[in-house]
Amino acid sequence: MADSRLRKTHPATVAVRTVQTLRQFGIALIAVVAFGSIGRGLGGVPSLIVAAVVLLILLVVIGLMWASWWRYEYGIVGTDLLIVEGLLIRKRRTIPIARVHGVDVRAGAFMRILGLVEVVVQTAGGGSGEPEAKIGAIPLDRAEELRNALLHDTPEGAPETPAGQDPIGRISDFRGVFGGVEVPGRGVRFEHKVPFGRLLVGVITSNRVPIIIGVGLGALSQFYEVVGDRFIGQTASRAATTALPVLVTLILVAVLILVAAATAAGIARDFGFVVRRYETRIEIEAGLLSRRQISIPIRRVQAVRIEESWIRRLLGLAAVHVDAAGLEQGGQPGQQIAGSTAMVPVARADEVDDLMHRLLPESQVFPEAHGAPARALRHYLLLPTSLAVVVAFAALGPAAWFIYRPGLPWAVTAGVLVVLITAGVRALEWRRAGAGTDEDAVTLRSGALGTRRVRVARSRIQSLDVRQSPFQRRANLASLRTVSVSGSSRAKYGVAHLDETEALRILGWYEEGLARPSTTPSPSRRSPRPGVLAGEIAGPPGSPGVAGTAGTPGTPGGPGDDPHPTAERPPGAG
Amino acid sequence: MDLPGTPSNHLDPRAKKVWRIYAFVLVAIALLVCVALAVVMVLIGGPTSAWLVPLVATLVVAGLWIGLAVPTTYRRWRWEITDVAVRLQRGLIIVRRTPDARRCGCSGDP
Repeated sequence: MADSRLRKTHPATVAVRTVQTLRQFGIALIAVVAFGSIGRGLGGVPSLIVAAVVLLILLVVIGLMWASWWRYEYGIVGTDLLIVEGLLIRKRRTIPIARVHGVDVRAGAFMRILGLVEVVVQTAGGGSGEPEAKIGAIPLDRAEELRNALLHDTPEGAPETPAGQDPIGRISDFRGVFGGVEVPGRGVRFEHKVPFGRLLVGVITSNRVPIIIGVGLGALSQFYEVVGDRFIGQTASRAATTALPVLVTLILVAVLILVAAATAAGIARDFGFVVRRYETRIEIEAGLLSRRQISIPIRRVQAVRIEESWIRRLLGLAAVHVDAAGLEQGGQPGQQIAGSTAMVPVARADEVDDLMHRLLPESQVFPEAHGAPARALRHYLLLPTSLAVVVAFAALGPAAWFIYRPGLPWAVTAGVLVVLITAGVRALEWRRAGAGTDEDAVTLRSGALGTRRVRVARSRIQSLDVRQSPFQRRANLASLRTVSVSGSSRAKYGVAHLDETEALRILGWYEEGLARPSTTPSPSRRSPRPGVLAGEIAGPPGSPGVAGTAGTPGTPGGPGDDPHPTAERPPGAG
Repeated sequence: MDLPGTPSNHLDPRAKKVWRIYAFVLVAIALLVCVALAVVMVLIGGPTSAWLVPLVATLVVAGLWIGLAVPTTYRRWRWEITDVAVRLQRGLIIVRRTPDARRCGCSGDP
């Protein structure tokens, strides 16, 4: 029996979901099969039958999406979000509003033209898995209403906001871009917009451009397979008669086209990038055609990462990323969990400190990082440089010796250069590497030509471990690795070849943090050896152990004994 | 030599037996494959090295695994339970140490 409190989504949901499903489950395959078989059929099957099969698949998908839409209802019932769905087996999902941590809003170009959006609900139990619910497409005003209700606010009355919750503004930019009235959000403590010019520089200097160039060149290498021998033969004979400058120009044009495509994709993704700080959350909004609005509760921020690639360092630019559970790759539905998103995609390095202060003061202070010891340089250099020697001379030596003997000096020079570059990069990595803690967080610093600094709050570390190889064991070195978002491949950070004592001190610091919520830690220990790490490193044998105990005065590592009284500031700090 | 502050408890010594049985099963399967390969090679008149090399390699790996890797892994594997964490140390060549919270939610979630 229908519940009058429940609503249906917009009928355009059928079209949106159909497109999404086809995109995910092989529209490319269908297209290849369809177009590849035009005129000659597929393995002897006439083209008409192939087309009919494709059409049938399309109709089945549309039918399923329609049925799914028809049977899908949602609504706020009391203090819960109720979702009723299921074609044959009806499923009622009740999501208590109190558990809702974030409400993201997304809209592709097609949805935006129709004034529709998709609402994605993240809950406390969502972790790094799929979002709790995806509701859409629904009209913008209804999305605002739902979002306000889920985040404990009313569309108009800011004073009615319960304590500890933010007032929610209108989803303004979704209207603004298409000519509607831009409605400023309420309760915004700070708003930062990335200017178009800087965004352009940011996109060009991002790692997306080389990736797309690589993919483009990879695709070009498959060109031979597509066009066949004859075309290649004709082109090669023409190219042989063409002047070298023309060929070079053509290659440059191809690279420029790829750069332009990568830049356009980046701009489309981050156009109109706005980050807003509310009392308890950060809201990120961006996108030219497909626009997304991501809400990240402050308490769900697992780590903050400040990155400066080598080219951005030259230009005095940096980017700030945040790790949080439940973030999807690129903010796009259906993509895998990334756990990380740009909070400020590009900013002047000297303004990062101020931006951090205004946007995320909770994570502004990066504990001072202590570098890897001098003896670690050998470990940074030895293995990679040896590998570079082997690879360089294995690749170049035989060719130069057996095929083109006069090229031998060049091969040797190239090999030496590869080795020198490898050694230089590794030496820089050694200089950048470092880790440090204060009472609340750990900083991990890494990089070679660029730098990356990560701050992970002690209470947000998902796992931290220390690793030691036999070579490191002999030199009293160890590597440190943390995970800030479980299940995310991008939220793992590590520093290699730290001083063993420092690495173990950080391990003990983390373990000590596991006990922090306990107000009265038990003095008794089940361990037959009291305070294994802290006891041996931070204090004399038999001194109190790890959890909630005081370190021996004058020895580093005790909870009340901050070994790094000066805090490391983000780049640009005075 | 172990990392300083190594967890104090070893696994039950019977773990070595379990790992060895596991290793023997896998080695037995590998040897069966080698024997099958040898039979095929003899039947088709293939080179002896085609089955002798895998057989020797299997025996060498099995010897190293059972004779060296199992006791070393056992020696490295340590555990300890404190009031707040389960400390684990494991690894054959690269030794890894990590503490895990004993109870879900005691990692300081506000």
